[in-house]
Amino acid sequence: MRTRTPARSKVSDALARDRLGVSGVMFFILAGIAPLTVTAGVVPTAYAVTGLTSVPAAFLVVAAVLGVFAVGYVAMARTIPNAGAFYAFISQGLAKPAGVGGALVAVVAYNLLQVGLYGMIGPSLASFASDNFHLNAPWEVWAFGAWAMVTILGLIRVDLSGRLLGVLSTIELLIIVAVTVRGLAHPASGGVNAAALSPTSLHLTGLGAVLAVAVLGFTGFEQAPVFSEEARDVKRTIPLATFVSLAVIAVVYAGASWALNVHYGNQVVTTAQGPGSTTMLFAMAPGVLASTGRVLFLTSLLAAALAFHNAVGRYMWALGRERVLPAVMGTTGPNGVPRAASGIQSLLGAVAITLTLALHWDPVNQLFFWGGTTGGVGILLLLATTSAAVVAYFARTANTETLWRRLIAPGVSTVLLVVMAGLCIDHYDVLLNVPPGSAATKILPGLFAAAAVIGVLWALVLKRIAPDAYAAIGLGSAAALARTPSSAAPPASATVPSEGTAR
Amino acid sequence: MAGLQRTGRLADDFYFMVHDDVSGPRLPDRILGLGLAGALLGELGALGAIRVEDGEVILATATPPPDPLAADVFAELEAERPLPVRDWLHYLGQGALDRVARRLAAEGLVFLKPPRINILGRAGRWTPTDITIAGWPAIDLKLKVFNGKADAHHLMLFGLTRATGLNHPSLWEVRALLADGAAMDKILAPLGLSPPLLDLLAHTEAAVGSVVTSQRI
Repeated sequence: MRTRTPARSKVSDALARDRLGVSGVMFFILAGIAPLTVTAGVVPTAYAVTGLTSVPAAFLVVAAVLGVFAVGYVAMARTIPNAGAFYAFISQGLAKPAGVGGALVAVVAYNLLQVGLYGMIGPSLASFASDNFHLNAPWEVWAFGAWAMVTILGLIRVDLSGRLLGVLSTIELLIIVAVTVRGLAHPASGGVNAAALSPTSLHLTGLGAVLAVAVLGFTGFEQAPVFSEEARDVKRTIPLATFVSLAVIAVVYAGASWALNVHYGNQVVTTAQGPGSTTMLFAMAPGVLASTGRVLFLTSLLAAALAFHNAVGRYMWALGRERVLPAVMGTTGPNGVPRAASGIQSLLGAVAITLTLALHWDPVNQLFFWGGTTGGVGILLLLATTSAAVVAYFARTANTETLWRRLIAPGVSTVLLVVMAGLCIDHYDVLLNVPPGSAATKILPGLFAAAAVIGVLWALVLKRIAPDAYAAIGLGSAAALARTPSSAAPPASATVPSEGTAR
Repeated sequence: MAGLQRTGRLADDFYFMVHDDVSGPRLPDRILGLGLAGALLGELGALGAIRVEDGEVILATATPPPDPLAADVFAELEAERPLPVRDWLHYLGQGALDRVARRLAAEGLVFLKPPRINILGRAGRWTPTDITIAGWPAIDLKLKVFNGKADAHHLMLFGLTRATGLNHPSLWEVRALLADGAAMDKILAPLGLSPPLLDLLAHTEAAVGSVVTSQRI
């Protein structure tokens, strides 16, 4: 990175006004994390499906692990500002084929997370409409309605991912805190018990399952480096936004899931398994707070679906532009929307809803929870691989990072994340709440194996048939710069064969 | 005024390419700005007034260019210490649309059409006076590229088209080239003779990529 002296000038002032500060980046991150979707949707479902009460402890443990991971992650983001996050880091840290494998795993994981949301949106809208307006329509009608909305808004580029979403997420956080305080103030018989917060409450069998759920809850925190080039000060803004988001979210999640545990006592799992699952968080605080919370939960779900849709679209667009995915994915419409990528993502959403209907799955426990947690496992696999890539990257390149940032923290987090991923895959039946050895425990994680293998093979094919595309893998928007002979090239281009304009 | 009156300036032609006379701009604001900024720097680059060194814009001459807008940009470059190309693209991109439109208006090629419903504070829209002139740069570009007769000016326009992802209906016959990296490199290779031009295109493309991925288009 070029060091910039903060000398004031007309140009630097004008640019600074246009760039994102810590709060700006945090708004984007929080919008992607969708805290209310997690606390009101994922947490009760996690209690219900896994039958475990150690969810709060899992959030704290995962936050700690992710915090250690983030040390090396943001350090690498400083040296690779043109980051497509995971994909770029793995390509430049480990190897290009691994990067492409990782990219496809990410595409599968983010898509699963997005389509899974329809499984929660449908039933939530259905119950909300029937409770408040006596409109009784089956969940799939609402799911398809939400799907149509996301598809259209995605295509006409209504980007809610800016300030509006930031404000919404902030209100969401405040509501969660208020409900949490209310829940803790009204414990079940037996009083407030902090056992669920203690990591010792985690058992090995269920550990993988709750950890996957917790990772799912934090998904979105890894987005900060995407804004490296838009940040006011890449060295300060991105790390600060990452760590502050992580800390805030960890406290809020652990608090809210603990409050559920305290308020419902030993009934927490049975309540979560009952029909009131998605309203149990708000039921802790009757009145205006609860109804506001319910409405915000719906907007949070829809906003999250749109935010994920846009993020997946951008991700596939970036890959299309680098020709890791077909080139048509890398085109934009007149309004700057990656149309093909957006269309494919919408198609996958429709397929997921239709499959759920055709196979008579339960929308919440299967489409939402299976889709979400499997997506979470995919993210976990990517985090583990990225963490290893950080170690490898700093071991190979000359740098001035401290030993803690370049080796100890990423090394420790690699080991922890690999263990966590191993536990998840090993106890996939607990995660899905199905008998051990059933087909779903093979197929769902198998999707990632397939994506990774296809990605690696495709990279090797690219190396042969399109060497220039192969050379640009993982360079992100800087790929264009790698083609010119005289530009300041990003660090990894040392390995790129020089292929200037002379060809 | 016989025949097609054109200014021969890069940013003017790019302005006309990204504006449809009926439905307005073919690119979202920030990408449009980056493209025009790339074109404005390209005008200086083609004159040999700037160089790109280590990703920074360096003045290569002390004499400002004759065109008033180009001279304005030149003066801005002169007033600053060397800054990265990306910074200049973002900075110039903020005001480029208005500045280029005013330059065109000064020559009577566009005029400010007042809004149909005059609500307080609503700005008018720059509208071409002659849609044949406005449509010509794209058609000319297509013909020149298709027939292999493009000069540096056309190649810069073609490069900016690729860099911004502009999808122009008149370029239909050559649009397959825009998606083919190796073919584009070959077509744009002659720009290597004026060193900063390829760099400017690459930086514009990278800047566009960055704003799309971070969803700040």
